[in-house]
Amino acid sequence: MDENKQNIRLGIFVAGGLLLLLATLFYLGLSSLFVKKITVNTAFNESVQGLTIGSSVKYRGVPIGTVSDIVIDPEDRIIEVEMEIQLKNFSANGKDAFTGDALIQYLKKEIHRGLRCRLEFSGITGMKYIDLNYAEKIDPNAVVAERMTPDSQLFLPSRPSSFTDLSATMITALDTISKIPFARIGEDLQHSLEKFTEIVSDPAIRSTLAHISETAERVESMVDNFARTFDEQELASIREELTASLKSFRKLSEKLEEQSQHLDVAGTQSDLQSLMFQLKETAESIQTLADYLETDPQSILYGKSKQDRE
Amino acid sequence: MKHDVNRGLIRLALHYRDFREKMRAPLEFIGAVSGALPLLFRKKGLRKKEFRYYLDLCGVQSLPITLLITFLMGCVLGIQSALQLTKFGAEIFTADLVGFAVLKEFGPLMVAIILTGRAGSAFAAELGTMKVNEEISALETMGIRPVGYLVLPKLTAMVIAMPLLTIFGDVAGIFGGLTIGITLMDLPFAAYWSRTIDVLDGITMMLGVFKSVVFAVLITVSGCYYGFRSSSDAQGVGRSATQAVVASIFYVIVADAMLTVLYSFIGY
Repeated sequence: MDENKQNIRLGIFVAGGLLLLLATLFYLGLSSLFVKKITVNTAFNESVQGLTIGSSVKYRGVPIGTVSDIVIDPEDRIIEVEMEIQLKNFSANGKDAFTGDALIQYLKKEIHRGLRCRLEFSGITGMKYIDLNYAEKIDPNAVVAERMTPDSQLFLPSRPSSFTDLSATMITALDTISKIPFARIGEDLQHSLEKFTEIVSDPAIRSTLAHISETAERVESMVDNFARTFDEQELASIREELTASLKSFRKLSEKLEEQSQHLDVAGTQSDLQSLMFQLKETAESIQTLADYLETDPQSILYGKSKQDRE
Repeated sequence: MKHDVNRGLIRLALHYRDFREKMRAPLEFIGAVSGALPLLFRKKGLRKKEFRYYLDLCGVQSLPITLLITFLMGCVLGIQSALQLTKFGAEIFTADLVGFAVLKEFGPLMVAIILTGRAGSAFAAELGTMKVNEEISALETMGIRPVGYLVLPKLTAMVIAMPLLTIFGDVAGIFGGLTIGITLMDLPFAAYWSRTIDVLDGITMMLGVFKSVVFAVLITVSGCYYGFRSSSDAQGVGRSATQAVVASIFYVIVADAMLTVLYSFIGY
């Protein structure tokens, strides 16, 4: 083969391979060296299982950076996380991206509006990312307060992840459940059941139940008889008669009321009282006469004895 | 009983002697190649014409088959991962699986297997034929060390060609997965591409490229070793070529396993 041709082939192969290497390296990481970003810190008072260096940082779901470092603070067992946030994602009214200082000022302002870091699951794999979002209600005790950070870096407070919230709720619920004295309730229930069985097996209760059953049968037969005796038309006629009677009774009572208003109740009452008094005196005289006749029956023929007349 | 013990001990000693002899030859060869390496830094130490020939043979001529095989391998990985990941609604992770598998494992490994078949066997057959023709003895007679003279151009060409082929193969493999992603799985090109760029990094790629350098040394040394040890007949040349291919593939797989474990210790 011609040496020059071979050299050209080799040159294309080697140069092509090296260019491809550089292009691939540029796409797979070197390009990130030229991206403008700021460093922001946060801290979590919970397990950060699933969060690794390189995990995503999202602002309301929009990827804005990555986790660059994870450090444990051994004194208070808090996990400090350093994030690199790209400036290109933040631009006001579609204009140029924020500068580093402008983004820091913006984030500081947003912290007062409730912007907090939170760990979220990124899928079913257990991997996590940091989500920057606004909390509606913030429990001050649940937020990791500002910690020592370099002057040039911003600290974003964090709040517990939804999983931690859920587990805390579950723990509280389980604590409450564990306080319920199930053993004692069971014993009481068993005791009650024994008592109930005892009562039910009492002969008096059984006879009462038999009576009730018998009575129910009787009532049932009475209802049957009643139903057999009075059919619906008869009941209707009775109802009509009853209605008519009630109307007559009402009229009668009204008339009585009218007439009673015309009566001299006071005079009639005093006449009645004097009549009653006279009747009482008569009755007493008759009683005296009867007692006298009982002791001296012949006086009815001969009159009072001499002794009695004196 | 006593005779049986003595016979067993004698057999053990013979096995040990054979093992020592077998181990001595490759170690001697590795030592000779290492001793010849300083020639690379001397003026006229490397025979440029031979170096160009082997770079052309191992690199340029191997490029089409490497691109085809790694592209198809990327497609196969894409299909297999898509079949499984679709069950979980995680098709996008095909990009992760194909990217990492190609860059860390299959790219360097497939290129090594292709070059074992193309270059390793060629080296063994070439040196075996030279031995049959007593060209190697002639070089020794002229005071030229055959290992440095014959092995260094091959080794240098392989160490340069194989990483370059691996880079081409990596890109072809990723494009194979991409082709499956956007055709069979209906994933948007931008989504697959951005996912690949997000999850892969330059270090992962360079670790795969470093593997290919190790494989290049193993394939060249194995091919040349079995070529030098070829018996001086036509059948011996064929046997040495076969032995070179089998041994190269074995060493490549062992080295791949060891490097993978080693990478896992440093978090990759």
